[in-house]
Amino acid sequence: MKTLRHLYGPIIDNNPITLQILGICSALAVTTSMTTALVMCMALTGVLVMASAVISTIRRHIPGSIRLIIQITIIASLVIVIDQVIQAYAFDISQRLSIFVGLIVTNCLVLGRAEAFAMHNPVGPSMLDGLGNGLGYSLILLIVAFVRELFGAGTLFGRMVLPTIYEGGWYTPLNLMLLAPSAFIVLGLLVWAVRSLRPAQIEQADYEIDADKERQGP
Amino acid sequence: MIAGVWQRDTIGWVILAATLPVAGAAFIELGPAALWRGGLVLAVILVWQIVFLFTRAQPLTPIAFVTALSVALLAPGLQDPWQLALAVSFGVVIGEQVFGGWGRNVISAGVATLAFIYFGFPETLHAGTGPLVAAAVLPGGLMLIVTGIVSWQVIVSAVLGLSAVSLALGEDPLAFAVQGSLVFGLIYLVGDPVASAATRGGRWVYGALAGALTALFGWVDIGIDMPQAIVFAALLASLFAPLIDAGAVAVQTASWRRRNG
Repeated sequence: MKTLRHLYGPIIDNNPITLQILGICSALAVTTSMTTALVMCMALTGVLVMASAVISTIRRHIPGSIRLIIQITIIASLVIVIDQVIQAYAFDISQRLSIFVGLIVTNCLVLGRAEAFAMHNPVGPSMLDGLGNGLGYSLILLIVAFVRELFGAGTLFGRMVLPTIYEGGWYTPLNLMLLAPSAFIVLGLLVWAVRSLRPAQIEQADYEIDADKERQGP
Repeated sequence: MIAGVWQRDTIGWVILAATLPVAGAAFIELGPAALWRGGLVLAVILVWQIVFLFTRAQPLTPIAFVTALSVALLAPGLQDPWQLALAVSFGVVIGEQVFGGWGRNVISAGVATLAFIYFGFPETLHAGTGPLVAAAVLPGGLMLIVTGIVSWQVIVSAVLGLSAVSLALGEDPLAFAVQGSLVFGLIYLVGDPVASAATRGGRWVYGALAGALTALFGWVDIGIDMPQAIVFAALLASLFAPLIDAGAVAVQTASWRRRNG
């Protein structure tokens, strides 16, 4: 049971995006439609699980002084494989995702889990941790993409859900949702919602506004 | 407990009173449509204020009326009720209430709402208002400046910045004076006592920045008779206001250090 916590822990309680604020760059870039977000999530989860497995297996053989280089090399190789697979089987989506699959290499989340978890734990828990973090990332990305695609274009996975006025329907698309700032806004609202449900995630305030003690009441 | 007359709600009520002539002029110029749009916006703001009153104990403020008037006056093209309600909910909650209510916000709720409207519904066309509204802003504006609620430094430097940049672009430096939306925005959005800079030196920089940006957006991009210019200028300037204030404080303390060794 304790190992399973590595799987479900990162989904909400220790979510990589809403709590650790990692991987924001891709979360903003690929969430204009559900299709790209889903493919990105699968690619990232795949890389994360495989990287955790490989790095965890050879963790006792990696010299401490060059461990980051080795981790990055492993992650980059896996990303290239995933990128080639997407190009081979889903060329359109690969074009739409453009550079962001390649940029999984630089995603803080992947290197963060490799360095923080896979380097110190056996293969099984490491893979579960990678999967859990991948699913936590996916959950947030899919929620943001759902909101942005539904309200920005009236579609879900490219299929018409709210008929837009351009197609003779009634819905006026909210163009703001297709711009990058809206991802920040949706993400911010999501963080707010999660922290209202889990107050333990709220950080200490750096500065409290104090009441003015000089003032006397009437 | 709070003592004295000049507390938050007094200022809110004075600003509300100052906008009453503008509300009348807007009703004459834009017709009854402005009335129901303003009323809808006001109702939505009140709902959010009540929600935050019960969940976070943030007291109601009369500034809701001024926000509603800004939206009705500066976004006259938006007719769809749900679009209005969505934009106002965004502006009031994200722009004002999450920071702790009016008085603690970084940008004013009206500016946040209007920016949401202009970005979110770019197909909607908005027209500016004319000299009648501009004239109606004057008495209230003067009262706010005399009572010190709106800083005269901000308004003077904004007008100077606006005229200087207009002149530099080869346009009429006084053309803004007959644009109702622009004069209204100058007093109530740029001059907003909460969102504008609060240090003496910072106010001159802040006002000049807002005025210069208004002229730049107005003449180069949207058209000086359009309400967008002043709203985007107020948005950018109020985002920079804390930085300007910090700079003014740093300059002041550095000069004290030099003098006193």
